[in-house]
Amino acid sequence: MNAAEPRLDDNEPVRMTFTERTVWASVVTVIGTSGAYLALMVSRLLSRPIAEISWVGPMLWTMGLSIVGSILVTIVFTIVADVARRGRCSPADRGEVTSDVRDREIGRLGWRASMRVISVGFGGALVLAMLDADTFWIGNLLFVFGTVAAVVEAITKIGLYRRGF
Amino acid sequence: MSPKPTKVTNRIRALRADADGMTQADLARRLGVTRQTVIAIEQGRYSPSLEVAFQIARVFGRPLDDVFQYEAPDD
Repeated sequence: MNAAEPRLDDNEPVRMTFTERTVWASVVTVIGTSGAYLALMVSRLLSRPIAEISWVGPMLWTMGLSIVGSILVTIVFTIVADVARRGRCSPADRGEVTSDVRDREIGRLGWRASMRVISVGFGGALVLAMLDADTFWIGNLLFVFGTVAAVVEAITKIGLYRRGF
Repeated sequence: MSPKPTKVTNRIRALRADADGMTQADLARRLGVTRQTVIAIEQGRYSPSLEVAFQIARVFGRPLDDVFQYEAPDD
């Protein structure tokens, strides 16, 4: 620790960990990108037959933007958090860990919650395939459940961070 | 206020005060966890693993049940 640095006391505001910030970043991004995709699909559904709807390209773009967007939003959140520290060095610079056993436990519990949603989506997609449904419905059902699973995972993790367990 | 999610209580805050005013950040650094985790443990919002609990007790040079107590439902 730098000797000139003021001693960090218990009264310093508690900021969220890096891992919690990434959870917020991913849920904000996924809701934005997936919401836009679903709004686009609904508008197309209302205006033309399913066979004429192009959905593969927009879905791949949505997935790509979700990944890139999560990274960019995490960077923005981190910069904002650093600015809010007003010159104090970050926990990592002080030699403190930025992710630990509690983060890993929360990650595992969040993943478990999302798997329940994913498994229901897979079951639904299987039923649609057995009924010989259009690939539009199968692909988009999986997409919707994937989105819901990501949101459920994030909400579960944020709840565990905030409420405890 | 909602009830604490764990029935495990602890004396970490008092023990830190006894240890020359050890800060939460100091303890976190010695345990290899985030300060947020130390705060969550102190406030009873997170029950640490047995390994971390033993590490905390060792930092203060106390037996485990001097640091952590369990409020059984019948108590």
